[in-house]
Amino acid sequence: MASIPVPAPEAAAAEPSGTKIGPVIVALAIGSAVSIGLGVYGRLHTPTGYAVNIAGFSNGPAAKAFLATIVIALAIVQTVTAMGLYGRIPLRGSWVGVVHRWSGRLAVLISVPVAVHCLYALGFQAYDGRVITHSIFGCFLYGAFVFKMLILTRDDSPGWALPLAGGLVLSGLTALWMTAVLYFFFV
Amino acid sequence: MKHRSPLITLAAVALAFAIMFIVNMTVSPPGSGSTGIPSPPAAPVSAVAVQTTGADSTAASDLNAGNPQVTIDGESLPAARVNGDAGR
Repeated sequence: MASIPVPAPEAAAAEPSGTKIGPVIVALAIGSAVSIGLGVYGRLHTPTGYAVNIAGFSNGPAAKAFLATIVIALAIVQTVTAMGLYGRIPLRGSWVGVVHRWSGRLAVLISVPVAVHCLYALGFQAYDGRVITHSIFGCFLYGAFVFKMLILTRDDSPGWALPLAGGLVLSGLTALWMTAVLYFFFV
Repeated sequence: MKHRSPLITLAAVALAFAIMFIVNMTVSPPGSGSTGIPSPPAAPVSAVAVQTTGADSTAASDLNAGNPQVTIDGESLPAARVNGDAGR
């Protein structure tokens, strides 16, 4: 088992002694500030009703639905590889950590045009339940992402912190996808 | 031990956000977007068309003197009378 290189945070998860809660609280505070900041911007910014089109798509919602579906597929890859890293499923090898990291980076970068389109063109809206849920989870997702990235910088975080952060990101993303893409395709 | 890689990822995402916002603010003119919000329709073309008579244009047929709603070629002109015609 020692021959399998795993990311340092996962190693920290298996080593509960010497952990500190302070950095987790700081990371949570910064992530919360990011979420609130995005929400405030989305609410105060006057929606333009337009945004830069993404080449190759007939319209904005189609582009966003397609990109968001790629993101959630990559999030599933993240979940599976994370389960492998934690030994929950039999995935072995250094490639697991590499795939986990790069699928995450790719997912969040692909999500950026979608998020900017939402924030800039539409803003934070609350005219029905689906829309306000989508708006809240859109802001929540990037706060959770910042929280997770900050947790990842340290080895002395409690073992539960990183799975919690990853779970928050995945939950936010799933809620976003269900309140937008699912609606776009099936309603 | 601190890891720098997540901070680089975070910085890259922040940079991507900034670039996308700047691009949206500077490049995209109103009306070229694709939010799914329908753009205001273009101003309707005036109902009064300007007809130019060029070398290749065809002159309109003369009206039938006995029945002004029919041309001499027999084409019916189902136009309603306008105010100026009312007393004629």
